[in-house]
Amino acid sequence: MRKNRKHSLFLRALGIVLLPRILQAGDLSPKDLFLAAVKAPTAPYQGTRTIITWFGEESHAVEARVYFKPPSLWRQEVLSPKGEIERVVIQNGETEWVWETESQILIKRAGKKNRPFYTALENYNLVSRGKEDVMGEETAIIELVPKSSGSPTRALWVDPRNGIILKIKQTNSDGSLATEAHFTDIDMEPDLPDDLFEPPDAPVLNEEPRKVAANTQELPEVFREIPWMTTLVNGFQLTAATLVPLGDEEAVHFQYNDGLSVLSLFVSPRPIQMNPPSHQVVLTQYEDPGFILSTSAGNVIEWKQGGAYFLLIGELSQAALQTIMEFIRNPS
Amino acid sequence: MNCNEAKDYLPDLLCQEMEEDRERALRQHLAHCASCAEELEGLQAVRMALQKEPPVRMPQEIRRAILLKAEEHFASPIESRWRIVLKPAFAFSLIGLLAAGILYFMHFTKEKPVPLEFFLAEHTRALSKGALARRTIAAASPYYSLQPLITQ
Repeated sequence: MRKNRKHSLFLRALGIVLLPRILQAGDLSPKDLFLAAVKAPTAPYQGTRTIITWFGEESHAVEARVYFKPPSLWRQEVLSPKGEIERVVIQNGETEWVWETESQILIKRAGKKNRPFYTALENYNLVSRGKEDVMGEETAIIELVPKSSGSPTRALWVDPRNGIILKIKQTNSDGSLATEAHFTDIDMEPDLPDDLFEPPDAPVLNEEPRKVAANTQELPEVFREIPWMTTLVNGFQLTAATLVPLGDEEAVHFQYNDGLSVLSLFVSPRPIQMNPPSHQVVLTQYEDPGFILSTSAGNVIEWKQGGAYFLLIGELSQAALQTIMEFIRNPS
Repeated sequence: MNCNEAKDYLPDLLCQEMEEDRERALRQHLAHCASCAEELEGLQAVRMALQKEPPVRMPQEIRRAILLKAEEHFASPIESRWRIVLKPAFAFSLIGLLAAGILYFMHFTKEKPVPLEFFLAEHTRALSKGALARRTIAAASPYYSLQPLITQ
């Protein structure tokens, strides 16, 4: 009996000593890797990253220098094709500054918080795809496969020691490439002074936040009859409803999220100028230290309902947007 | 005030229709200018002589002839008055004016469409932190600019 207890204690001690080494070797579960990747990295770094976006038959490449210092200081310098700095983005977790070097405009706005990454665990299957060497660093590959059809699939190359994503690839539901971003050089032990994360001394333009509506009663009177939907199909949850000024009138912007993708539903009192009523559009590249929400081409779909004009924008397939549209039109 | 100006104002002085400052200036000039003072006296004499005469009445024939002409003018047939309206140039101008009015009315009362790019920019705004988006959208749309999204 005593011998067994000694044996158990020995095994526990061995586990405590060996577990970090096992994890360091990249044996974290896909879920733990994912959670490590979406948090800010635990180590500082600086490097150059290339982001390539495909939309239709066209592609667009951007190069950026990135500096990160834990827990939340981040700087990105977007480079022109000639290698000159076009734009500097600085974040400290609560505030974001965007410095447009050519126009000398410094924009200040609130940083985003509470990103619903945990929802992604419900809407995506996390699949381990083994290991791969990226720029001399061993990375673990996880793939985020959507449970609903029509959403993009993402693959992440994560350094398990610090959660830095060294490469990300996003493919559309039809298998075509949407975005690829990867480091072309990286220094994991940089000495980064704090003033690198200070905005330049220039007049500040404060970006005015949109008015938020918490329920139907806070919407403009013309929209009181539209359904207030907290959930849509494909796992999209309502994260915010804001009012967008349109001259003397207002449109409503319902923002939905499935943990990785953002879906916008606009309800406008005025028609939307688009031809044809549904087609592919260039969306955006979104970045932060985790840069997991990198998006690219997307689709739009527009329809009229109850005297108002509805517009869905998202990086979903046209068929998936159609399904969501039908759900909104006939929620029962 | 010189003589030319003074002579212009003499009738006003007679009719007592002058501003105070100008009248003072005129009277100062008349005190030193014999020529203008003489002209004023002449005007006053004519005025007094006219006031003494009895009023002259218009001869009945002339009065009747004027009234007859006026009657002829205002009593002209309707067709002749509309003749100008029926002239092609006038008609086309009127039609053009009406069409412009209708177009103006339709343009400002119809629901003006909002460009898709506006909503794309709002979508971007909701998720953007890296600001690369602004460039992408800007490149994609002639409508988009940074200004609608910010206030000073």
